[in-house]
Amino acid sequence: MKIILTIFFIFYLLTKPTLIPQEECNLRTISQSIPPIVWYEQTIDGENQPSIVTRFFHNKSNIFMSQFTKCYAHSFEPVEVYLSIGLIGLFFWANFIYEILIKKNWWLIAVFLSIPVLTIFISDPRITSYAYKIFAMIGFAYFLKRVK
Amino acid sequence: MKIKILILITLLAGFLRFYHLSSNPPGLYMDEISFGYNAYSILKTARDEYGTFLPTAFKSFGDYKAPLYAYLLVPTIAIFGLNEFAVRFPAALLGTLTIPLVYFLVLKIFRNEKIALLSSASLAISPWHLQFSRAGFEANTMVFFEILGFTLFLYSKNRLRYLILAAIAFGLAFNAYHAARIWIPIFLLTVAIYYRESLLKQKSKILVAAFILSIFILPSVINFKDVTTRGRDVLIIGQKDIEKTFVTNYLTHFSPVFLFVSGDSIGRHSVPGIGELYIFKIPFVFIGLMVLIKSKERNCRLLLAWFLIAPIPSAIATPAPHALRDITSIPLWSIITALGIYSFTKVRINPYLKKTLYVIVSVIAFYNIITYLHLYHSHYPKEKAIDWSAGTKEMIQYVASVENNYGRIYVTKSYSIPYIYFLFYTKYDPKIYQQENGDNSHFGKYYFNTTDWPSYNGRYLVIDDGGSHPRNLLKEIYINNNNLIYRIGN
Repeated sequence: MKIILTIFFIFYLLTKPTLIPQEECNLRTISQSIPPIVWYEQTIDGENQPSIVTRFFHNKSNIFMSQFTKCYAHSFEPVEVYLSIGLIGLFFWANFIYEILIKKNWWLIAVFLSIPVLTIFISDPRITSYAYKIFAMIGFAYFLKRVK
Repeated sequence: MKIKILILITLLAGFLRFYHLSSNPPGLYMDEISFGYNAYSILKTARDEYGTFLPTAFKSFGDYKAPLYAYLLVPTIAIFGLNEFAVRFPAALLGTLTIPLVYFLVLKIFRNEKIALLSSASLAISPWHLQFSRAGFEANTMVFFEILGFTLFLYSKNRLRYLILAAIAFGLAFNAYHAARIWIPIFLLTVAIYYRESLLKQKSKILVAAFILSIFILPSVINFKDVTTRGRDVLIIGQKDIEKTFVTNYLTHFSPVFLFVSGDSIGRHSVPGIGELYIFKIPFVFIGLMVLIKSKERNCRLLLAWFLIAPIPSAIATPAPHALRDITSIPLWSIITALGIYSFTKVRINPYLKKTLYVIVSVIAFYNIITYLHLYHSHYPKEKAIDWSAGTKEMIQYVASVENNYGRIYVTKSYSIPYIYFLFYTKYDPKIYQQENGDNSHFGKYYFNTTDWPSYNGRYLVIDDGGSHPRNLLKEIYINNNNLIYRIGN
């Protein structure tokens, strides 16, 4: 029974089309976004504010981190996971996260957390979509292991 | 000692909520104005702007607002007058009082003062909670009364007096906000499921509480058609792919970008550049959730259920994610964060590594919080001025100073619903307005329209947006970021 379910689930995931996010989010887009944001924030602060305060809050490294976090966080969007691998896939994807955290599986946690970084640097959004599928499969395996 | 810390946290919460309350957000948006004028009308005549005697739903702009906030405003307007501070006072006050309430709630759930204090502190500085405590958002009162009701229920120990008070609190919460009519029944049903055994043991007391609660619900049942007007506008029921829309809407409320990076896209609901929660909370939210999921305790299970059902009122409507309709999540995120912080302090790792992590997290937290305060107090009033109808008060004050020179005053409807702003800022006598029985397009010498003005041979004043070019320009109104918002001429 478990083998049938596994085959069915793998087939279900593989037949799901690879979702490519409409919004590009990589190192290039992050770098491009910095100058206009710095200009925008500094304009809002105005000339009356001490420049040290402006630079403290609106410096390039801060904005880079903020944009990087935005791109990074985008890879964990539950909606993207749902649209990519469906509701069943989302359930097992969440189960994967739960299991690796509960079992303190540091290697898988490291892989899970570094996939978005890979997406940002290699700038191929398909990586995230493939990762969703692989993680959901592992989550499914964990689930089967729990079911007696 | 713990109580002293709680008092300090509450004072901090009060300071963050009341500091520059009148001027930031930089104007009153139309719902605040409507609540304010209707409360003023109740105060003067015991009727709303349409002449309805002590309404149980305020017709307002045809959306039939939940009545609680308007009635809460009556004493504050009587004390402070019809102004920004009075309109925002109940939201700020109840927002502040939610902090100690959360302490007592968490204390009861976890029986741990540290988690309770951390929950209160986390909520006190929460950008999400601050945003809705610093403006006349009626939804904030729902959260207060919901937490009050739940806390009283947990402390009741089969005592009828507490159960009655809990029922009254839930009843008030039900009448505090549109979404409460969906949320409160769902929440009570969840609580009833988790506490079914103890509830069944005290049937007679529960029946008394249920009877009292039904008294509060009855007006909404009687006026069902009216009170569901707003719902019919925003609910996804009847749309194509309703299941997919619901799931998508629901999941957006757990979006890391929404929660930790960008927040709600609606200008009144969050500060640009800041998420609904601070970034430094991310690891603690994860740890807290794990602890909650692993726990077998009934109260923890209930919190987890609350966490999962909280976005439902928001998910069945558009747009999503919607920070305001998901407002019942706010205390929960604080509790989960506190649980995460507490659990982290109990983790056995190298003490030097632990201390290093404490320092790193503290630095990030400090930077997060002061960045938020800078963005809220320095950027937000400039960036989102138009979302708060900034400039309208200044325009009306000018018009009021020259209105005696004109027979008619024509006002643009380009930005919002201007009649209510004129009623509010000119403190127009509610009795006269009710007798005029206006259709919101005209009262006194004021006419509100976009293009077609009724012909008039006498002297008239025109207030239009920046696009018009009156023959005699009298005044231009700019908002903070130097955008022309009104042009006044004749």
